[in-house]
Amino acid sequence: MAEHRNAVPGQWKSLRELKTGKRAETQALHGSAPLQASDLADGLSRRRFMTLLGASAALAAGGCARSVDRGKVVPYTNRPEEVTPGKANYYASAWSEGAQVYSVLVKTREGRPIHLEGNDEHPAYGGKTSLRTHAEILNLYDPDRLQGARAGERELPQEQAVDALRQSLNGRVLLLTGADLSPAREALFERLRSQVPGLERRQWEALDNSSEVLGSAELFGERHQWRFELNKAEVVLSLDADFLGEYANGTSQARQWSKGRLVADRKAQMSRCYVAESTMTVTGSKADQRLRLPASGQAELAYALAAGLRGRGVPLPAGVDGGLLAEFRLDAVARKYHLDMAVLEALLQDLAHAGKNAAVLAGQQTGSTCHAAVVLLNTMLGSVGHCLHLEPVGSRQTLDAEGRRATIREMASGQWDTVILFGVNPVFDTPAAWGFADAFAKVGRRVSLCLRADESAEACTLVIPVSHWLEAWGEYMTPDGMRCLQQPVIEALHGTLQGEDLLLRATGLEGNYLDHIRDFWANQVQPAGSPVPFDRFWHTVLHDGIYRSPALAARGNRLNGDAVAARMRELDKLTDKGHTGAEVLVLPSPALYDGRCANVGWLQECPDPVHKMTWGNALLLSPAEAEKLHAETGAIVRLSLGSKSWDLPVLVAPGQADHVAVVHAGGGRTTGSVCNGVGFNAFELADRPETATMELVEKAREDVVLQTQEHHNLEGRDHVRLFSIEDYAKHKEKHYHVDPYLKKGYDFYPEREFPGNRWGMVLDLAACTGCTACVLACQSENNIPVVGPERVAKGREMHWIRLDRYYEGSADEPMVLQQPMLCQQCDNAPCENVCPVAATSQSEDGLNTMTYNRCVGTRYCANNCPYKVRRFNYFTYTDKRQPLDLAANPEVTIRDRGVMEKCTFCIQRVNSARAQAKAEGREIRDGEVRTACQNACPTDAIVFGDRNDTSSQVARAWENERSYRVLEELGAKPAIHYLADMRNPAVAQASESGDHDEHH
Amino acid sequence: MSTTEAQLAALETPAITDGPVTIGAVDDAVLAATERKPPFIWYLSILVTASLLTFGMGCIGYSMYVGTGVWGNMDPVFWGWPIVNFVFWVGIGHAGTLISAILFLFRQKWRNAIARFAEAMTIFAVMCAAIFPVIHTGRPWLAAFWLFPYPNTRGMWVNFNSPLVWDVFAVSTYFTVSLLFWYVGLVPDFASVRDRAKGVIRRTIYGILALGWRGSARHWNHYEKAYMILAGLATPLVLSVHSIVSFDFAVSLLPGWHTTIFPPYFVAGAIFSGFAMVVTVLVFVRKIMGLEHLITLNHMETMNKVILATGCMVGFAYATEFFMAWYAGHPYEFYIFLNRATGPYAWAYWTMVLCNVISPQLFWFKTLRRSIPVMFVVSIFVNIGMWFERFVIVATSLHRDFLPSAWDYYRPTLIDVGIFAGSFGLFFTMVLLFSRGLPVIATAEVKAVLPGTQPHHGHGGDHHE
Repeated sequence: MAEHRNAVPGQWKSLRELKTGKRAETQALHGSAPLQASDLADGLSRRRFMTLLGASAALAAGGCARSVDRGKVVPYTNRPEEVTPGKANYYASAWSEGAQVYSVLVKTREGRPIHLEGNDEHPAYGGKTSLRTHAEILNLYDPDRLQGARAGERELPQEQAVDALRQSLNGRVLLLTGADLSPAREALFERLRSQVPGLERRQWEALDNSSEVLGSAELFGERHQWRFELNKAEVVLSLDADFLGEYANGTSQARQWSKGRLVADRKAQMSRCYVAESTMTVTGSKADQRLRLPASGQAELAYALAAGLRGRGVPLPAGVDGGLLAEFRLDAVARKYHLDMAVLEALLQDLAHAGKNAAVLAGQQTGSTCHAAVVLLNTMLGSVGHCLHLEPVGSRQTLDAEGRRATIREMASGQWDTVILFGVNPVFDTPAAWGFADAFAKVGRRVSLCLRADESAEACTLVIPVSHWLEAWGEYMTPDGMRCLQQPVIEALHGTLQGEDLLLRATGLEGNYLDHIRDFWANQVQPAGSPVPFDRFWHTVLHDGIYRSPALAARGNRLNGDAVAARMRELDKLTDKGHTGAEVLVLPSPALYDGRCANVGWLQECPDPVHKMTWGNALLLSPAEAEKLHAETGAIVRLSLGSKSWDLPVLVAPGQADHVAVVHAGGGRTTGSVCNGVGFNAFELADRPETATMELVEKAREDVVLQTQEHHNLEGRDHVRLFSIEDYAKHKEKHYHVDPYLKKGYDFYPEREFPGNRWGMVLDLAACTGCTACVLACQSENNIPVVGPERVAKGREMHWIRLDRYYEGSADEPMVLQQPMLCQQCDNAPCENVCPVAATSQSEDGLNTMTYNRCVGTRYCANNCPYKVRRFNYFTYTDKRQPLDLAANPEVTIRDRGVMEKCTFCIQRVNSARAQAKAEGREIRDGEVRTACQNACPTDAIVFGDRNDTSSQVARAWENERSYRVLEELGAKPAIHYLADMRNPAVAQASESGDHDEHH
Repeated sequence: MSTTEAQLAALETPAITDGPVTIGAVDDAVLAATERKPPFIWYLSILVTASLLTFGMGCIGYSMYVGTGVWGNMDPVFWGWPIVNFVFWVGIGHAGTLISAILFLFRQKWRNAIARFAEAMTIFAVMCAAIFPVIHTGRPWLAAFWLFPYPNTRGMWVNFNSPLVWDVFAVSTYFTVSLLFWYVGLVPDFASVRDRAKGVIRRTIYGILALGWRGSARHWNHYEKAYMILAGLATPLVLSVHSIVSFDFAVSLLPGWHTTIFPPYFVAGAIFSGFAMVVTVLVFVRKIMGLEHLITLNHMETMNKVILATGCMVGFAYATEFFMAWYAGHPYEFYIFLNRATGPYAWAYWTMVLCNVISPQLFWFKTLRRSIPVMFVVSIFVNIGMWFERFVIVATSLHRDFLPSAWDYYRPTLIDVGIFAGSFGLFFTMVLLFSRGLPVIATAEVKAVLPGTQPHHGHGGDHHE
């Protein structure tokens, strides 16, 4: 670690300023244009008008010097040992979000982290990581981070803050943390208790899998959670579990799932994926067979399937009442929810046939009754221990809804003298109906240890900033025994301490948290009697980032039949309820999760994988439901739950079940310069017993729901091609479309020669889930700015890679097609010949390169690009606020206003690999250059490499029978091939609607 | 003369003037305007047009200061109003060159009365047009000179494959030749103004501008030759400039742009719009400046005939485009045309058809052709329609091209409108200044075709005064 401290000049924002801050201030956006880049609507004073008039006269007179701020370049006076200027260093680390632990590699340049990738040593990740992990870089450098402690209005130096914390650790102290998977941290709190006997720690998560945990607890008497090995599954049934997205660990599950979806040739087998869900998710969009079913109906389907399996001779586990189960009939469920009986029959058949190779998953929103049924189903199938594992939750004892309500009641009744919020924001993310804020106000000492002055910090008497995880130590263990170490990769930017150190200092305990972790690992983790000295062990783990210790042992999974019976009886009552209104589902947002990272502009501008919505959330309604209300996307609907009502913008969500209103969490933050006022707080609607009634209050407006894609239908075009595996196996011809005119010899001009490398990419549409991790990875790697909601509304987003999502078929039950679209690096690029100043040209290794310095911004290239993947800097988009400049990748130019840009195939990575190869006197090896998007893709849908090297992965994928080029007939000769999407439908009709190869 | 002979004579040389006009009267009518104090209405007009110009300049300054993002341009409609306006103004210019050069070569003597004015409009229109290609770029301070091939230390040359480079040559050549042609034609008139001048300053200025013209036979001989050569040079430009402007679109691969009909279609459209603009302006000028006996209803009617003819050509081109889109079997192209007529921009398309194809049909009737109110309204319609034609070409082709995921809807902003209004401000300010400072009618040419100034047969004789 560098010895000196990174002094960042005053960005301090007091709580008061935040509270009373004017709109103009609070609207300033990450990476958005500086204030002058607003439209005339901001008002033009007479003076300013005259200034502009003068300026225009001056411009007309010619000769305008550009005022590009070149900044200062200061060399190292004493170069740190491990830093070579111009070379990146990688460190293994880890972080956790909710109940998930992500093992990562941190790329640092000259001592500052600039990019995050998955740890390739970790078996669950294999170098991949989640969308939000990439955004943690911007979270670290967030200018809104709190830089000094405060008690009320008073600023406190760090020592005094620790003193104040010490005084707070008195009497009965409740410490609320997020879900905790760190045994060492658990041990730390034990140690603290020796000094503060009244201390109690509880884990507070807004969105957690408590229904899964509760469901299993009833059945086994112990809290369990699922871990998956979906790569072994031939049949996957998801009951409202978005397992490729937000359910459990989407990244690792998508990796597993994709293993069963590889179609190398015509003999390949595919797993089959059934999804019954209440709203369209990425999982549903990749389903082979999809059913629309509200969350409340999932349990009935699950029990009916169990009954059906029993009917097919699958034995019930001992103790489960078969008579009660027999009351659930598949055809009754089909009738009640208008499900296709043929699909259900096929599902039953497939499950019975696959046996232990089938996996049934259920989402949090289906409730613990459904989860009990899922345990039953998987037990009957025999897949527990094969495709999925029930494992104890370990140290992660998250409060369930009842636990959280009890805590609130205790606070209200004055049971707690002090409440310390450590990295949690319950004022924001607790269902409003529970009255957290009022109860919290009754607590005498309210302390927040936080990264930013969030909603909860505003309600606290003492607020102390803590370090970001990239500045702090930590360790984690998941129940499967995988341990990860979290090491700091940069000195605390604002001189903060990590929360654990604050607590250690306040209690006067010896040493810091690093010492504590080392002690814990020396005593508990390193196998007893190991001949390796601890330091060596420690440094090895630190280097690898992971260490595998024995998994937690479950106490024997004997199913409690009475518990199952009780659940089934309860369900009977539910069945009678019928539909009086819409059930409200609060789901995690694919980009923002529960809103903790909402101040990160990258995530706000990240398009929802299915709905392509950015900057805010909406009320998702099925097309039929919206039709009933005469509402279109962008309309405002008044949603009433009991006596409370909210006016919410509508987004019509094809494929959503009727009688369901879905809202994504994460919107409606009231603090933070980026997220303040974006969207509405879905937790306001959460956990209310009533069903919702809705009425239209305002017709559709365009600026309410900001989508990056306006047109959702392929119009019968063949850009996205799709086969059912059955059709594919039958076909004789090569499947990809070659226009007869494009065969060799057609061109007027000789083929261009690429003597050295010739870079190319293959995108497998069968593997692509549309998860959008590539978009974030690209944004981080290539310094792509955030433009802000007004510019997204105008269609000026800057992402170099976009995920095109098309709906085919009916709006009620559509087929969803995903297609990543990025610069196709055409050999005969239409953009090149129209540029008057030759700013975009062909490189000799097959790239279509952009010379930013030369570009004058005629935008002709973008007009002539048939793929519309070029992006124009209409304004200066770079956010000049400190310390955001540290987040930039120094190898990629920051683009100026008026310049065109687009995907470069990560040319900086190509060039550094080339330099390396040259220095070592060899050719670039296959797989040595990996683009940022490729590295991020959990399903390896992106293959990149040298096409001239016939043994390379990309050259082989190029020859795949499913491969085709988009718009090949235009003769642009793109360097990207797509592999046609593949589905494995069980029922023929689904394949008909999807297969449009026949049209061409 | 028998009636038939009289009719034949009338066909050969339509009446240039209404009633008997003497040479002195021409001078008094035309040149005196540069000597009188302008009427109140002139001041009022220039106040309005200069304000518009100032507002437009302010809008341009604002967009340069902040970025082109203050316009409506977006993804995928990367070109918006600025390019529409550019093509519109270049088109307006075409009537002038056609009248002054081509009709000159074809010995259409009726042109003499309106040639000067039309040429002046050409120059002002090209000035208006020239604003847009530069300001519409992202970095105009570089585009202003990087688009020209000039020797530089970077060893960088422009990309001669790009139609935008062709544009630079086409438009700058057009402007230069038009300006020279106009100036050469003005020389004898400058001399007349100089000779009438009372003040020293006035005499000096116009004297310099007249380049020492004394009206000798040698002068006339050289003048006629130079004028003829310049007319010859300008003639191909009438066809080439708009052809090359149309290449901006035709050379691309965008459906709706990529079509071989564009060059003739653009030229016809340009003449169509240019004549409409000349009619619009002359309706006022001849009235206010009291030139109705020199710019007669016959002139106006003839121009309306040209509008009718070119309007039909444009209409035919629209039909051809549709036919080809269907006949070629190109699904993207067919979609673009279907989308023009029925999609989100159908309102723009049908405005265009109404204005450009339907409204000129009124000119089949002689009474309507000769009715000042009717021709004024129709010419305004044609101006609107031709602007919309360019809007339809630019916006509807771009907003829905190949990949439906990129489709979006384009809207201009107030700044777009302001800059366009500013270009009208520039145009009319220049017209107003021109109408007071220079002879709006080529007096020498008009005098040459007055009754009795020409021998009945033969040409090339010494027929000046």
